[in-house]
Order: sequence, then C-alpha cells, then structure tokens
Amino acid sequence: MYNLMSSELYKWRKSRAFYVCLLSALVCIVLVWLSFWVEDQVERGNIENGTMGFAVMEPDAEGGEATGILDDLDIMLMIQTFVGGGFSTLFIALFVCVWVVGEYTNGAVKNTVGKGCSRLHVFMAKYISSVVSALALNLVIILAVVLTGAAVTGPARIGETFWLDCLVYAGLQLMLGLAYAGVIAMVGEFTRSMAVSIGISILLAALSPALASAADLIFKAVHSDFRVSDYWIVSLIEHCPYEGIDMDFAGRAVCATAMWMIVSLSAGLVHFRNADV
Amino acid sequence: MEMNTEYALRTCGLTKTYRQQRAVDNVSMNVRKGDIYGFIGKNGAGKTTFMKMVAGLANPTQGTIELFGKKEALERQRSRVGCLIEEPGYYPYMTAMDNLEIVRRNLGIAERDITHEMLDLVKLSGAGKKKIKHFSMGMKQRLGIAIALMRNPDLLILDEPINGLDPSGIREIRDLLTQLNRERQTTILVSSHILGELSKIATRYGIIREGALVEEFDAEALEERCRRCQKVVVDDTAAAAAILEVRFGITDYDVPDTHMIRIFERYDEAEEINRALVTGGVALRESVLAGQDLEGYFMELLGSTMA
Repeated sequence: MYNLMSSELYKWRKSRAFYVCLLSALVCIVLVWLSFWVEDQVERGNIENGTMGFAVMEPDAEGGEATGILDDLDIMLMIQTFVGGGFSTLFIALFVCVWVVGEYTNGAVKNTVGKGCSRLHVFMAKYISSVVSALALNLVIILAVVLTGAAVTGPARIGETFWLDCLVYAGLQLMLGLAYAGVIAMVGEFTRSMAVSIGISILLAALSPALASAADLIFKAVHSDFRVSDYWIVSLIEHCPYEGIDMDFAGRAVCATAMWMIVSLSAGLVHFRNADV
Repeated sequence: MEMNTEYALRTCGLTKTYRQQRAVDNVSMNVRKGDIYGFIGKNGAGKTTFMKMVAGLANPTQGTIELFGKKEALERQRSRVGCLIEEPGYYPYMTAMDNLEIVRRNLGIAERDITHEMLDLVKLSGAGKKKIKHFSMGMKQRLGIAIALMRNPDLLILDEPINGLDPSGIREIRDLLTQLNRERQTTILVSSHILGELSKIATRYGIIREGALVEEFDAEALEERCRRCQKVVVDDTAAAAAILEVRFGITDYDVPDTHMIRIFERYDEAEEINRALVTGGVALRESVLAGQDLEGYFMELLGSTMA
C-alpha cells in the first residue's frame, strides 16, 4: 500500500490535469473578483462608465457618497458561491474523472494490477489520492477566494466572526468534498470512459440537487418526513449555511459524508475486484 | 519424469466466457521452468484473454492457475511475473523515465538506477526524457518490454511483443529474450504472428484454436514433424534398408513401423532410390516426399490461413 501511495503521489506531482484544473479555478476566481472591482469602480465614478461592459445609472444629482457593489458583497457569500454553488464541484469532478479514468485510457492500470499488489489496495490507493486531491482543490479555491476578496474589498471588510465562520464552513465543505470526490471516483471506476464519466459527473453536480428536491416532494406527497436532499452529498454542499451552522446540519453532514464514502468505496472496490482490466 | 519437472505455469481447464461466447475453452497449458513457450493462434483465438487471466487482469470463469507450483496466493506469485499484454500501459504526457519511475515505486524497488538500466536494456536510453506521446509504436513497445522486465521476473508473458518493430528491432528483442532465458533462466510465454521469428527462439509450442488448446509440443518434435524426408512403404523393410545402405550409402533413415522407412537424406534422388528398391526385389507400395516448412505446418494446425 505504501508503494502504491508513493506511486500515486509521484503521478499527482506530475499530473497536468491537477495543475490545469487548479489554474483554471484560480483564474476564474480572480476574474470574478476583478469584474466586481471594475463594476464597483464604475459605480463610484472612479473609472469611465461602460468600461468592460459595466454601465451604471448616473449618481443622483444631489450628490452624497457614492456606493459600489463591493459594499454589499460579503467574502463569506463569495466562498459559498464558489464552493457551494457548483464551481468547485465541477473542477473536482473534472479532475477526479481524468485521474481515475486516465488509468484505463492508456492501459497504465495494467502496470499495477497483477504485480503482487491486491486489487483492494490498488483501488484504495486511487480512491485515497482522488479524495485528497479534491481536498487540496477545495482548500486552494477557498484560500484564493478569501485572499483575492480581502485584496479587492480591503481587510477592513473581514469582520469579527469571519474567521470562525470561514473555518467552520470550510471544514464542512472540505469534508463533504471528500465524499463527493469518492462518488465521482466510483462513477469513473464503473464507467471507465472519460466522456461518460465527465458527463455523469456534470449531471450530478448540476442536476442532482434539483432531482433530490423533486424526490423530497414525492416523499412529502406520501406523508413521509424523509428528505433525500438532507442526505444527498451535492445537496448538502449546495445548502450548507455559511453562518450560524446548527448541530443538526453538521451532524447530517458528518453522517452523509461517512455514508457516501463507505458506499462509493465499497461499490468501487467490488467493481474493481470483479471486472476485467 | 513428470514428478521431476518443474513448471513455471500450469493451467487446468481454464475457461473464460463472455455472455454466451467461450473466449477460452478449457485450456490446460504446461509451461516448464526455462521454456520459451510460443503461443500460436489466429486473431480472436483466445491468446490474449488466456494471458490476461494468467497475469491477473481478467478473472477466469472456470479452471485453475498454478504459478511456480502454487495455486494459492496467486497475487503474491504474480510479483514474479512480468507482462506486456496488448498495448503497453503508459502515461502519454509523462517521459519514459517518469513512467518507469512510477512502475519502480509501484513495485517497491529500492534501486533507483533500475530505470536507467531498463532503458539501456531496451535501447531507449537516448529517449528517457522524451514524452511517450511523441514515441513511435516501436519505441512504445520497447518501453512496454522495459516495464515488463522491472523486478527481474521469473516468468515473462509477452503478447505480440514485436508488433510495430522494424527488422533490427525485432532482432534486438529476439536476442534480448534469448539472453534473458539463457542468463537469468527467465521462463517466457510469448505469442506472435510472425511464426518464423517465433520458431527461432521457442523451445515449446502451444496451438490455440477457437479458444481451445489443440496441441502442445517441443521444438524438437516440431523439427521432426517438419523435417523433409522420402517415405517409402515396402513389404520388407530390412531388405530395403540394406539396399539404401549398400547402394546409396544412406544412414540417416528410420523405420517408424513395420512397412515404412523414412529417408532423411538424398531425397532429391527419390526416383533412383525407387528404381533400386524395385530392381532389388522389394515390393514398393508407396513413395512420397513428405515434410513442409514451419509456416505451412502451423497453418495446417491452425486450420486455415492466419488472420
């Protein structure tokens, strides 16, 4: 297992997909903040109206202190938008699909399976490296949003409760991200096709919360209190509150993470053990 | 004899079924330690599927595999097996050196220089820092062989290893396999469509047809079967043999049954020999020139032309 993990680490260091996903995510974050800053400056009249397509109504004739969009923008809200709004889940899905299915695309998995390592260890190593990569991606995305946000809005916008809220929210999202990456790794293992796994993963990231909500309505119609979205990992990522997190949500998040990790790992293992390479 | 023979690989009734299709049908193969076993069959005959099962890449539907005399803990026994099945596995965006480094780590080989050694061995030392996506097919094949040879395997399984290689590459691989077999006593199970090449190195053969192993034989047996000779069927083999020895000085002949003599020399003088036998009072019932080249013999065994 140690050898396999050492090999995974080496591949990870050499993986272009990881750096491309990371760089793309960082560029998107910086661009979004930059566009807000430009809009803010246009609203304040510091730069010409219409710059980069941002046009605002002229300030009132009576004057008064001009306000900009950044006055209403909260860094925590931006973290939630990026991490809970499908942005990081998309990048995680893309990377994990490439990471898992890439082993089959060029037959590299043949260099590991049947070389004295058990199939259980081979899949475990891939699974662990997938979820750790997702953790790293999420962590860097959160840090980038915070740092860029602080640079754009100014450190004064970071309130007293910010760091505690940020820590709790990031902790929950990082934990939920582990299970999400595990589910994607399982999808990759089952499909072993780049196009199909990416397609399914995008559907999971984009549509599954809506489907879970629809399932909730069905349960409600039959007078059941059970709510699928309370335990579906993508719904939890999407609905995770960024302030005033209650113990009920945290408990469900922990349970759902554990459950989906066990399910995805077990199903992936069974499939990997029984399927031909 | 059987008791003293050590086998690197034995299978018993190995079968692989895909839905209703039997890709490998009840194959019982015996590869002795030190053999270079040529595995021959048409495309789709089941060679690759069989090799995949032995290498642990596919699960058998039925049957057992015995590696180095052990049927249990096959995963551990497979650490002594190197294989190149179908196309070599690699990461195209990484260099040859990186690919070998990954395999080195996977296999837990402490010796870091082994990556350089392997590249030298397959004559790729100049391309170690080149990305695999820029490799030619032959270079990829060499890299696949280098990967298979990491950890100095006792059993090497090679599926069409000379695919895509130029004539000099084919010769180098042939020499390498012979060298490994001679110097490291590596047992080799190799399939190839190039029967002439296979016959230069193989010490034993297995013929697979429609998933079933139809025959196994040694290189000596093959040579014997393919040896050109004049077969004569006579009433008195002793009298005929005397004529052959006295009149023609022929000593290389055998008497496989009571009425047949196989003459392995001077078969271009068949007409004269026939005449001498008849004039010598021997009743000549039949006289034919037998034997064929390796390719022709294999074709006959395989049932039709190679795909």
